[in-house]
Amino acid sequence: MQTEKIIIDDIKQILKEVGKIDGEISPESDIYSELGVESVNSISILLALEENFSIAIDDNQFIQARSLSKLIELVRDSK
Amino acid sequence: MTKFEIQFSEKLPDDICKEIAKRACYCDVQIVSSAFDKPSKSLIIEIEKPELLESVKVKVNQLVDKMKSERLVVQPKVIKDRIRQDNSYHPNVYKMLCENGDIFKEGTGVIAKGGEFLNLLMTFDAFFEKLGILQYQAKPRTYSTLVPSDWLKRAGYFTSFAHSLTFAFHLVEDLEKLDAFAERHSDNQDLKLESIDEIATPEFCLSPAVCYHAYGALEGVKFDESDNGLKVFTAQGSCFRYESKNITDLDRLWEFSMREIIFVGEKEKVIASRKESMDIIWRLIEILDLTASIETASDPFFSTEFKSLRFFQLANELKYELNLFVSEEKSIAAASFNYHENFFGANFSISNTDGSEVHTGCAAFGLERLVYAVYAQIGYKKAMKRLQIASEELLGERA
Repeated sequence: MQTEKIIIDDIKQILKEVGKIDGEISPESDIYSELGVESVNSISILLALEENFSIAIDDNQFIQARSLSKLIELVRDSK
Repeated sequence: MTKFEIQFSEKLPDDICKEIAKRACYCDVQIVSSAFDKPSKSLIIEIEKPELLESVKVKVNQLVDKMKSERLVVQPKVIKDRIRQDNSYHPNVYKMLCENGDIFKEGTGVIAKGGEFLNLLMTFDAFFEKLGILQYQAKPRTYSTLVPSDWLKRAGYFTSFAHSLTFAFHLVEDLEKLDAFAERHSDNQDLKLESIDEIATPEFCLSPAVCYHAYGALEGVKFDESDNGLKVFTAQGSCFRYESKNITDLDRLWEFSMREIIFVGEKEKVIASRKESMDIIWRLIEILDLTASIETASDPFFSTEFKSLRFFQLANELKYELNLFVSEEKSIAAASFNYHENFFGANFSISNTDGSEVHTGCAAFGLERLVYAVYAQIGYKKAMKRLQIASEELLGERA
């Protein structure tokens, strides 16, 4: 079982690498409108999360999860 | 002439198959037509030269691979719909308008307008302009037909809609090349360019939408208290989107007229204005008594960007389209209600009083399509009479 810290670190890493976020990722910031993730990268983030955590994420729930804290919740609930 | 077929997976939704069929004709100049055949769930491509079949097939398959997605299949959602009691349609509006001289075809996807068709188009346009001014205190604007290429680049148009671009070219300033061009055409020859070097890199494109001009004009602007969190503009302009083999009589033109009401400012105010404008237009549709629907929609993104952007736009309900029926089976999108989040605020450095990036949205009306559908459903006289009633109810105007 992955610890909470590993989950958070992995999601942050995916947002940085795949979502191309440069700076600090505050938990409640909107990753698209506030942290500058381009919508064209949304699918890649979803697929990276699924692969990294070996889970299946619901498409619609993913698009509603627009912050780090919501993504953590989503990954946790999808396990 | 020869045909080939590409079988889609059963899991691929029909609306994605239709989108692929619309984009397929951009794969190769040899393609004469591309269509989605629903019963066989396949893409049918017709090409000019049979000997080029294999090379065209490779390109179309590449496009299909880039656009097909069995994941992220958010379906368009119907928000409102209605059917008129007498749901009959004029069998051929375009032919009728050409025969009575209201429409004159200048070339593929380009028409001249006159008579009652033009009068109805202008009446609708005046209605939307007044709606903007009276309901939102919109500032009327006229924008140029040319739009700086740089603005389209920053709006993401080059990456998302490369297939639709129309450039404003001119020959490069070079005596030798200008003389050669003139010489080549001295015997009344058809237009011929011999190399890309003959033309200068276009600083301008022909505008694909009105609202880009509003964002460009606001570049670097910070709102002050007097804006009260929202600036609204309205303008009508000629718009150009290259449609390749998809060009049809009146519902898919290369050049068309668009009226927009453009909302710029705080997120909540932009979203509320978009919603309100959509509700008012739906009331207009009820007064006109048209068979119509409003559905979530996505823009015609191309190739690799299609899957992600379509998914993002549909799932976040960033775009609603007003679909008007032109026959019992076919509808066309005649207006859209768009919300762009802070995309243009960020790319054009436009900020609210607190320094945050503005959010933007717009209500956009494709005037030829609207008038075409109105002709197909109720005709000129009923439309003019009902527009007057709508003006009284929705704009407070007296006859």
